[in-house]
Amino acid sequence: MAVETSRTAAPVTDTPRGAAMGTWALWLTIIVLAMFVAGLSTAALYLETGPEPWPPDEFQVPGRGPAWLALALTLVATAGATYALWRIKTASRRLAALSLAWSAAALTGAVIALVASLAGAGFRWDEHAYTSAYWSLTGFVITFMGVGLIVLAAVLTQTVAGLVDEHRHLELTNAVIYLWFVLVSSIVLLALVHYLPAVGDGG
Amino acid sequence: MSAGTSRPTDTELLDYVWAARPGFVGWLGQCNHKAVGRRFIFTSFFFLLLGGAMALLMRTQLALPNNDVMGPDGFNQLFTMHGTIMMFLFVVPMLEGFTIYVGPLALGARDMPMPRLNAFGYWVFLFGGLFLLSSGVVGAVPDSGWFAYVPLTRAEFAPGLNLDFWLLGVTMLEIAGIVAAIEVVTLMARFRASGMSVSRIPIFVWSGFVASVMILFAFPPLVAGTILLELDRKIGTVFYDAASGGDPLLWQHLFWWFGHPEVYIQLIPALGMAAAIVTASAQRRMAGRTAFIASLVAIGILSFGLWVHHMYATGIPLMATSLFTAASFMIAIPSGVIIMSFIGTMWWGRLRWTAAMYYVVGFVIIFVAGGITGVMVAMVPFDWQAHDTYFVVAHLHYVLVGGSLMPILGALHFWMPKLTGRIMDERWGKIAFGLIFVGFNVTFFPQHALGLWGMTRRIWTYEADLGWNGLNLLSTAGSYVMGLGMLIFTINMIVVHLGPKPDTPDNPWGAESMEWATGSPAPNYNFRSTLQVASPEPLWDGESMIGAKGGEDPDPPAWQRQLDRPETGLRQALATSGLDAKPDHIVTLPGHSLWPLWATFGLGVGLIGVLLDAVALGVVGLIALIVAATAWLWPGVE
Repeated sequence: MAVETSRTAAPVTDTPRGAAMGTWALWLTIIVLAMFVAGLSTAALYLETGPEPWPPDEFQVPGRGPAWLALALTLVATAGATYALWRIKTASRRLAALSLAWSAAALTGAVIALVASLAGAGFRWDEHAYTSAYWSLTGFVITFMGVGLIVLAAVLTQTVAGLVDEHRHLELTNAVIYLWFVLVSSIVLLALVHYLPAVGDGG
Repeated sequence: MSAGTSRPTDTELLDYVWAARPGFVGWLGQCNHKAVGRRFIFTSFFFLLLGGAMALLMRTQLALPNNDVMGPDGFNQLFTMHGTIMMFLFVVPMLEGFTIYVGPLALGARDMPMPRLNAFGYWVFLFGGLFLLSSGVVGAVPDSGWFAYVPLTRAEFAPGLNLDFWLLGVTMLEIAGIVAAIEVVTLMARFRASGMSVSRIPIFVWSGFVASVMILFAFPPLVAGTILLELDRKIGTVFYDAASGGDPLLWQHLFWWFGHPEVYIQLIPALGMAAAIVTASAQRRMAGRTAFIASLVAIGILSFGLWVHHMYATGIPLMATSLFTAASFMIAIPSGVIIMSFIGTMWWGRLRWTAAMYYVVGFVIIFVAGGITGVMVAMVPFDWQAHDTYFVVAHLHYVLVGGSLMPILGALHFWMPKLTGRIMDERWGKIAFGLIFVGFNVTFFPQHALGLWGMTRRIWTYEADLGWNGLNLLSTAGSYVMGLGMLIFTINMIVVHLGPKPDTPDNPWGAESMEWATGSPAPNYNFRSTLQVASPEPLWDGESMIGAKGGEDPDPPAWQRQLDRPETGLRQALATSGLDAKPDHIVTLPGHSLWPLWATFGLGVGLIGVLLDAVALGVVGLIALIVAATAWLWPGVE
């Protein structure tokens, strides 16, 4: 990440190296969030591999369709934001704005799909550790996506207002990095309670 | 800046640009690293005194058998708050405060890389501390120990708001710690004086960097664990309920995943402080400097593989406990290297026996004793005998008081001239040290024996015929001696700040690192000119410091002129490349902002909403947080 992408950084050499301060902060924040996701994932796996069957026989595993749809839409949103960054670097602000709007719509769809998966789960969060994990991990993914939506809305507004352009696009760069994190963490967290077969067999 | 038509000097211009805005709002909006660092240091010192007073109350209760100074509930609350305050409100914020204040100066930087984030960290820390203390006002003081083990902390066994105060308050303090860690890592990576390559970074800054990286990896799992526990308590999830497929041991894993590195997060920056003091006192480079730094890194890595040694008594399989025993032994190796570096530096140097140096010697003696008992409790058979006894209380206090408190008190002596422009009285400093050192050992050494004789932790009283009376009375007497030492230390610190400001020399200890190359206290702009570093001891080598006092570069490049004479009126600082610290780009920094305070306010209101089950309040707080954070990050908004 070259420093010329930042509004508050002025190179003093011909070949500046390294990222701007805001990008450093974002990457370090992503390490923190990744460790948070690691803590959640470990907790879910720890419970899943315990002595009891997972999920217990009395619970029917909900359909996986909404979760796959959410993941696909998140991928679309992330790809759209990445495309917007590329367009802004090539001075196509209008296309970038359109692409960001498309990303926001896709991410909104992902949130709706996950909320629908919770609504149709057929169990509450307080019935068993499995149902707690199902609701909570899905809920954390929705939270990450919600933050992504706020970020997208802010960057879209800045793009439309002309605050982001080919010379100053640190905000958009950081938004794209964050969305990639959302995508990866969604894969990990949703896999634990939606996609993957249960690891624990009660043995 | 001088009035009239005369052209201001470089220094006047720098002072004007880097000065805080006037008035109370200006004070609130300060983001500069010196203001934030000082706030961290003196707020956490207040919490130290508070936590110490609680310890005295506990020792008073335990002085005699069947004592009734307080009941069991009060005792539970005291040991919970004592541990929580010392761990979360004193040691870590104090060490971060020193890193934030001294770090940029020692690196030759003008500020931290993200000043508003810096201020946010302090406000969250302050609010988290006040939030925890406010539990006393509403009569719901946390009472389940600083580790909050489940199932005792689930709603059915701990009704009321006590634990909710703890969980939400600690989460805020963790966020504050993470924020400061992000700052420090970025600082060391990019905000160094030209020429300060990785091999020339001061040991103290290295130690702050290692601890900060550890924070990034250790704190989030605890945040995850506390959120899951709060979900169990508030909305009825069952992560920790064995009857519903959950597991109470999950909490212990998540807690100690954080908790054991936390011990080293508290130790490593303190080692850096002690290294700075001993280097200046011995007037020589730290013996085995590279090995010392490598050992800091090694401890940081190894500390993540030790957490189960807190859980030997929970039924973990024997093979697993053996692996953790081996890892626990392994960490003694870099610790030993570091201790030998200290001894070697003292041995080969020409020591000046300042009060700060006394604390370093105290640290070495006490920490080594704590390390030896640490090896003992790392052995599974011994741990099964000593687990949950006063032996462990003695061990952890030897490690934490030796490894953190002693260097911190020494560091307050050592860096006080740079913090406030005052030098603490040496004679009273040495008297205070003597009382603290003797008092500490009289307090805690007997507790080893008490533990081996069967006195369990966290009991509020004991019967008279158990054979514990004499040693408990001795321990309490020692705690009062230590308390007297702390009182003298505090009075010394206050008294030197009364009266007119003295003309304190820039470098009263003849130290080697760059914070001593500027005024005492450091001026608003830190350094009048940009600096050039040629060795790890820039003030001793005679080659560094081009551009410092008396050494102007006759033909500086344009970027350096821009930094040295800020005609634009902007606060600007130099960012350098990561490894070799070559000038890379100029960063424009904000100088005043209330948005971090508003963001903290939103976060706090949101958490109060969670505490009180007030959904509307929680939503208001969340919206306030989002608005404040958006405004904070909006381009062009300061």
